[in-house]
Amino acid sequence: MLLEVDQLTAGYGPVTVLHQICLELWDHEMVCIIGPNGAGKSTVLRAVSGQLMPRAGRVMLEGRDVTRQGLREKAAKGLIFIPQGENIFPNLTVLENLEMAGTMLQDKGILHQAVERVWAAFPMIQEKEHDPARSLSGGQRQILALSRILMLLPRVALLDEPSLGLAPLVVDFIFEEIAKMNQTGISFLLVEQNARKGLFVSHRGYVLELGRNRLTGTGQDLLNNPEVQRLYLGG
Amino acid sequence: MAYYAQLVLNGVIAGSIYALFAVGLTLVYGVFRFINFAHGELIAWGAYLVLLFALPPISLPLYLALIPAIAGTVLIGVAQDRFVYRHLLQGHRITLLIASIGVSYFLRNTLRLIWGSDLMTYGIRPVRGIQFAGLSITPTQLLMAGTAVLFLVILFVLLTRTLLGKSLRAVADNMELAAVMGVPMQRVRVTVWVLAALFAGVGGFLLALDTNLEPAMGMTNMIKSFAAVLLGGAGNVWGALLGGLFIGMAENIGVAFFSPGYKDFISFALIFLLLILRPQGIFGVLTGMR
Repeated sequence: MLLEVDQLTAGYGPVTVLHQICLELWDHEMVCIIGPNGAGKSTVLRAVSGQLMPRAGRVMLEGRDVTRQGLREKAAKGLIFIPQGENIFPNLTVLENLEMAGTMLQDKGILHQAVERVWAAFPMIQEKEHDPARSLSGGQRQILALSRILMLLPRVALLDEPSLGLAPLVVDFIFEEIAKMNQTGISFLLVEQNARKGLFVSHRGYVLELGRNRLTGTGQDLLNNPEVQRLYLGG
Repeated sequence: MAYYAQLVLNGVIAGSIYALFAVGLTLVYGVFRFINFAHGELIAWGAYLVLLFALPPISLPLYLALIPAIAGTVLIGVAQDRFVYRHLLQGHRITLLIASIGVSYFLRNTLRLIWGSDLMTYGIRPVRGIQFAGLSITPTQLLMAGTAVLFLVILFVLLTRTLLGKSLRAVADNMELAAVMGVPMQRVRVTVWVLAALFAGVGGFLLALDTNLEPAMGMTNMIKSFAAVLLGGAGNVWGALLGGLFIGMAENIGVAFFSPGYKDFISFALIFLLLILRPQGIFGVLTGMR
């Protein structure tokens, strides 16, 4: 197993958001977490990535316990986190954004190769190389944020709401790109408000409710599940 | 006509020093999101520490005294963060602001305790200005403008060409995201304080070279830098630079219309007007650090 989350409990200050969450992610898998607002979906990613220290439970990466490790240590071991919403630096140029995304790549040559990979995959942002990132469209911003995955080529990418605020056609494009990266062997644990889309592209899914595991199954099973349909897919 | 040109020239020179102060103040704001009211004290300490190393018993020549003095100022800047601000970062931003007012009182009164409240000078005899196209400029003024330009160019290169400078701008843009990407936050923090203190200390020395030293010099110049920061849009480095130049010119051209005693009134009036009319700054559209 690539990533195993076991009985994870986490929260902010006096509030406990996650109660003994369990989930697993296998090599080459794409797994989606869905659930209503306030279910703790984003908190799962924060606690797994090391941005938020869990209160109890374990996070295992390739069989090693990484629960207490921070963002940098986990990134070095091949687990990275792409947060939702404001996930670029608007006043840095597109190229500078990539340099920041690759800040953990110590060597200049490796950084250069990583940037070249991004240009090859996304020529539409290379055209804006020296423009401030705030001049990009919503879809281009998301592509810029996702470029970090291409640069660092991690084992696992945690992705929070990649479709947030994007037009339907752009959402399709973004998910195609995620699927392509998945086919190259990168596993994804993704949180989606757009449950139908998320489950459709994923191998498996987890349904969270009030910070607890509610249901799990393959993407197709969950899409066909009457309860999931009624609660999260709008009938 | 030459009279007004002279006022503009004086304004640009004074403004270049205000720009040094304002750039540091806005860098700190950009990264830590509070106005450090003790920034002025770094200006004053820079000037006084030069005096300390230039007077007996140490008696170094001024240009040599500058080196330990600036090192000391940088140390005070880093210590402000290490012993006060760092412990308050999790709290509300207003807590930091009030703490900085406390730090400012502490540092200013320490100055008074050591050197007293009287005006002091480096004891350099005034030199006749160099005449050029009907304008007059003293060697000190040349040194002021030249140093300011040099430091601002170095800052520009640092922020746009080096990984550390880009990291600093990234942290100012989105601290949480920078942390997620593994940007070395501790190094960025220290860099910001070193830059702010360095620019304040050097500017303070140059200002004292041209005028004199007094414990309240930090406070007065802090207010002017604050006005410059607001003009540029808080957190915008190049805005603060232009804001500093603008304040310097406004002050000096103002001398043509009212008594020099009202010089400081201009920056206060500007702060007042800006906070009411355009809190985002008038140079807010320029691409800068933010």
